[in-house]
Amino acid sequence: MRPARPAPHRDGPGRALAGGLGLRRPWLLWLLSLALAQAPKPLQVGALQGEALYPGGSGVSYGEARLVAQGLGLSLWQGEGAVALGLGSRQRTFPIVKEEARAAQTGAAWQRGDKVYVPLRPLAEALGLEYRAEVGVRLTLPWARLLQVERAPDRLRLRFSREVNAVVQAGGVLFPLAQGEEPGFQREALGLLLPLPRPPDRLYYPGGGQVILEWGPLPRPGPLVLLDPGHGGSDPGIALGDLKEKDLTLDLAKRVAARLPGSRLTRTGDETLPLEARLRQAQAASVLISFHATRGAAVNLYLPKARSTPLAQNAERLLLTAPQAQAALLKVYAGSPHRLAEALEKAFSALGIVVAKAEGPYALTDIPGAAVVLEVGTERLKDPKAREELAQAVAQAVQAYLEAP
Amino acid sequence: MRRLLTPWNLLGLAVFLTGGLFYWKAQGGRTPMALPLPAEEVHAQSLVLVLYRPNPPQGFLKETQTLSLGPGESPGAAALKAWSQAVEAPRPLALFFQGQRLVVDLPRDFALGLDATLEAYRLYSLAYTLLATFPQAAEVRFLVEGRPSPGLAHLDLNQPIRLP
Repeated sequence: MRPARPAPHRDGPGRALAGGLGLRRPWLLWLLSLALAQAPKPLQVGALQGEALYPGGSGVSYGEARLVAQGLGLSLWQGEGAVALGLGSRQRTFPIVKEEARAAQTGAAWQRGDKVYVPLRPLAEALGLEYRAEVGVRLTLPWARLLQVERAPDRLRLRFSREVNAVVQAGGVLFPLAQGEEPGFQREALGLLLPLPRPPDRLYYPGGGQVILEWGPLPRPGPLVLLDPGHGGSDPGIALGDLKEKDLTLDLAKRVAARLPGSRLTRTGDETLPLEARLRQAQAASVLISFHATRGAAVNLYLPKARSTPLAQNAERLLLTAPQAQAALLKVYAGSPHRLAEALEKAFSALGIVVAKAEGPYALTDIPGAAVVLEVGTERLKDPKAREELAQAVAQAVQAYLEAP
Repeated sequence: MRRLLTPWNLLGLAVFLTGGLFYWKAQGGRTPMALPLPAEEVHAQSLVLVLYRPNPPQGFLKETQTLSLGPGESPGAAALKAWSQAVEAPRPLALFFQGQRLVVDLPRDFALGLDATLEAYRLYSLAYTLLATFPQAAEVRFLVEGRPSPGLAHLDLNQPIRLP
């Protein structure tokens, strides 16, 4: 007689699956749960629905860049090999990779067909978005509040409770996912609308939740002329009787400054100023003349032989070919010591003074701006009237250099 | 009584004698002696200084001087001292050898009271003198009071100086 077989369980298919796969094959259940964890999940971005993918099975959730941008009102830029999303002054750029495993490993964007997917968690961290992974993935952005409006002629500064984007559209500027009660603004379904009769010429985000709108031409930066009286304080320079180089150079530099509105002096009194401090000021100068004295009546001009920064190295060539407007702008940031020296030579020759020029590693001359060391003989400097003539010539030369095409 | 002349005893005796022989050979002839002087102290009893004396506006006059080094005196310190005396300039604070580079530490008043031309003559005289005296060096860099500096008054000291 055969023994009776135990009756099979009748608790439903779920129990049968757990008993059949989970209890007998725990590794199979583990693999199944892993596979399910990497399966596409629903993605909610603001009010839009999509799909969160896990390229390469690495557990990094990705969402379509265009959907994410539209759902949260982010700016989207896609170029060759990179995609960037931005919110106000915050921005995150991802290189685009086609291999899904490599994209997930390196945190890059993933190109799938004609769509580009970006890793959602790094994006949320960079732009201040809220990221939640539950049954699906949810990306949200709290509504921003308009806190302050500063109005000035041709300029409007807005400050929000967080970074916002501004979308220029017909009839005004829309701030998606923003709200406020300020007069002149309209609350709309998508955000806050600022109606404008004329679109702004410039719009930028200086950070801290601020948006600036500007109208009119861009203010042009002006050149900085820096005049450096050599020596000073405990360093008198050369001495000729009671005359000291540090006093003569300061007097000459002040006379030149009086003729060049907006120019600056590295020192305005009898103070010890190390070369390091002078060099720090010189870095921002469009034109720098360092005044020194020598014995006799000679006038020497010392120019840099080699310039170390790429901007300085290219400035001479660019000034030769650039149109006048661009050359004027370039001269604010970089210059040609040779052209400045030519202008000085010409101005001094009108006074009957022949200038000797030399090139070498002279202090303060290796800067992007046009810099020279001007050494004038004490015979010429001891007479105040002669100093006045020299100052006039230097000022004329600087103006001629800056105005030359 | 057990046998003394077993093969194992003989092998042990042979190893012992071989070790003793090596020890005796290694120690033999060595007598106590003083520690050797550094190599530069042994060999450099004198130094040939190649002096580039400033001769403005023509350039430099090249001279050679043979300096005898005192006990413990380094060639670098002797060269700085001799140069300083020869050209009547403030004595540099120190000279360091860094492979093919010489680093000279200058006092802040090294070029005090000089115009651009004379400052250039003084600095280049020192650099050329050191490069010619110590030909293993290819360039000279300057510090001012122990720190890198953009210069003293007229010249840029950021770049090294090499012989022309």
